[in-house]
Amino acid sequence: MPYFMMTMLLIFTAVTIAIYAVCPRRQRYIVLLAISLAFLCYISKFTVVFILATVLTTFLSGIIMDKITQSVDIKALDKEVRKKVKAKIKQKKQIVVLSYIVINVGILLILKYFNFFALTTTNILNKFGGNYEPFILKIALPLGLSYYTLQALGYVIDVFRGKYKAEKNILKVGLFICFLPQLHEGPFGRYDLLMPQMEKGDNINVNNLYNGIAKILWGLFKIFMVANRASMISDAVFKDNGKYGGVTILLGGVAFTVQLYAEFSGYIDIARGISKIFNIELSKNFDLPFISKNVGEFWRRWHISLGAWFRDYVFYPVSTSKFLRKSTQKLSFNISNFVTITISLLVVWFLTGLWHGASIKYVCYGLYYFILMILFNIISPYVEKILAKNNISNDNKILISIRVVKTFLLVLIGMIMFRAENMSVFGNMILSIFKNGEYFNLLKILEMQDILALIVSIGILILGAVAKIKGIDIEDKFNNLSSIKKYFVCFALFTVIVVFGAYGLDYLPPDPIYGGF
Amino acid sequence: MERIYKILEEIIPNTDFKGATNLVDAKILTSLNIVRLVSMLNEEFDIEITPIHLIPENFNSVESIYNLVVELDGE
Repeated sequence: MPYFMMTMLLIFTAVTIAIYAVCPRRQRYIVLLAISLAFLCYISKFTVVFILATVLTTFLSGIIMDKITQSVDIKALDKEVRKKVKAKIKQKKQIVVLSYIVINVGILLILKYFNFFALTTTNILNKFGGNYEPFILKIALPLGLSYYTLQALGYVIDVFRGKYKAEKNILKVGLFICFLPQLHEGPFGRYDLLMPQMEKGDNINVNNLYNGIAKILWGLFKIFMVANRASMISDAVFKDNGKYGGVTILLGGVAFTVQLYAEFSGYIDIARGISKIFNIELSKNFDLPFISKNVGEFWRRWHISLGAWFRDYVFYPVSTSKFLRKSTQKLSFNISNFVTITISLLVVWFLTGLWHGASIKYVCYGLYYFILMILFNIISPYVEKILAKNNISNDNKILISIRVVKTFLLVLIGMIMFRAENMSVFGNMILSIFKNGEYFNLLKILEMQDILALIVSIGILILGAVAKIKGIDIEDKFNNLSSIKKYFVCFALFTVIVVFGAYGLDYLPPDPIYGGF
Repeated sequence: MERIYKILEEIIPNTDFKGATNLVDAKILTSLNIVRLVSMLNEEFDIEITPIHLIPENFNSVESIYNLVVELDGE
C-alpha cells in the first residue's frame, strides 16, 4: 500500500484543520494528540498498546527522575557532601534510565530484531549439524517503532542530564511521541524545541497555510515526479542484477540514490508542511547531501536528525566514558585518542546500521561507513600536508569538485549495498561494474515522456540546490509573495503533479523505504 | 587555569592558547579534540560535562573553559 500513509496524513491534516479552528487555543495540543491517536489506532490496530506503553514509561521515568533530583536541596550542602549526594542522586537516576531502556529498547528488540536473531542463531546451529526450525514471531510492527523509541529515549536522557525538567502532563508527553506527521519517517524531534510550539496552539494563518501546502506539494512533487519514476529504473536493474554489468549497474545505483533521496526527503517535506500549517517547525533532515566533500559531511547533511541523535546520545557518552578513558590510559596519547574515537564510531555505526533494519546487510552498511570514517581520519592529515606543501588551498574549486565526486561514488557504493537483496548480491553487483552485461533498454521500463519528465524534474531539483548554494532562499521568496501569487504557485505545482506525476495503473510505486524502519 | 593549560597542551602541543578567543571557531579545537578535552576535564576536576554544555562559547577560550569547570564544580 504505497500511498496508504500519504493518504492518512492528508486526511489527518484536513480533519485536524477543521477541529483545530473551532477549539480553544489551550486545548489544541489535545486535538493534535487525540487525532494522532485515533489514526494510530486505525493504522496500528492492537499494536498501538506498544506506543502507549512507551508514552507511559517515558512520562513516569521523567517524573521519577525529577522527584529524585528534588529530594535533596544540594545547594544547601557543603562541597564535599554535595559531591557525594550528587553521585547518589545520579546513581538512582541511572537505575531509572536503565529500567526505561530495558523496557523500551526491549520492546524494539523483540518486535523488530527477534526474528533476525532467531534466524541467524538457527542458521549457525544448523551449520554445525543441528536441525532446528527457527521460532518466528508473527506480529506486525507498530507504526514508527524505530522513530518514536529513539525520540522518547532522547527525552528521558535529556531529563537525566538535567537539560530540562520532566513534563508533568502525560498528554504533552503523549503528543511528543505520537504526533502523526513525524511518526512515519521522522524527523527525530527534541522535546525542548517541539513542545513550546505544540502547546502554543497558534491560530492557523494564511501564511502558514500556504507555506505548509507549498511544502506538502513540493514533497509530493519529489515523490510523484522523481522517486516513482527513478524506482522503476532501479527496480529493473536490481531485480535482474545478474544480467547486467558496467554502466547499467551504476545507472541502477544512481537511480536508487535519486529515488531514496526524493522519496525520503519528499515524505519529510510533507511532514514539515503539515506541521507548518499548525505553526510547528519540525527539524530539517536534509541539507544538500550531494555536495558533501567527505562521507562525514554527507551524514551531517543526510538524515540529519538521526546523525544528531546518535552523536548526542551514543557517540558522546561512549567517547567520554570513564571506562574508555581508563582502558586507554596506558597507551600513548595519540594511540589512546585513535582507539577512543574508533571504538565510539564503531558503536555508533553498528547501531546506525542495525537501526536501518534487522539484517546482516544493514549491519554491513553501517560498518561500511565506519570504515570510511576511520580511513578518512587516518588519511586526511597526510592529504592536508601534501596540499599545504603544494600550496593547494582547500577552497580550490577543482579540489572541491574531485572531493564531491569521490564522496558521491562512495555513497553510491553504500546505496547499492542498501538496495541489494543481500551482501552476496551486492558483491556480485560491484564485480559486475567491471564486466559487460546484457544491453539495458531503458525504453522498455519507461516511456520517452516519462524519461523526459524525470530528467526535467531532476533538473528542477538541481536548480533548487544551485539556488540554495548561491544563497537564494526560495522559501523566503515564496513567503514574500502576495496571497494570490502564492495561490497560483501552489495551483501550478498541484497541476504539474496531477498531469505529469507518475501514479495510477501504469506505475507500480514502491512502499516508502524509510517508512519500513 | 594552569591545569587546563596543561591538558590543552597535551591534546594540541605547540599551540599558543593564551589570549585565543576562537579555539572552536578557528578549528584549533576540533570535535574530536573536544571529546578528548571533555573526557580529561571530567576526570581531572571530577565534574560532568554533558552535551548540554557542548556549545562553542564554552570552549572558544581557556577562560570560558575555566568558567565552565568552575560552574560545574560549584553545582
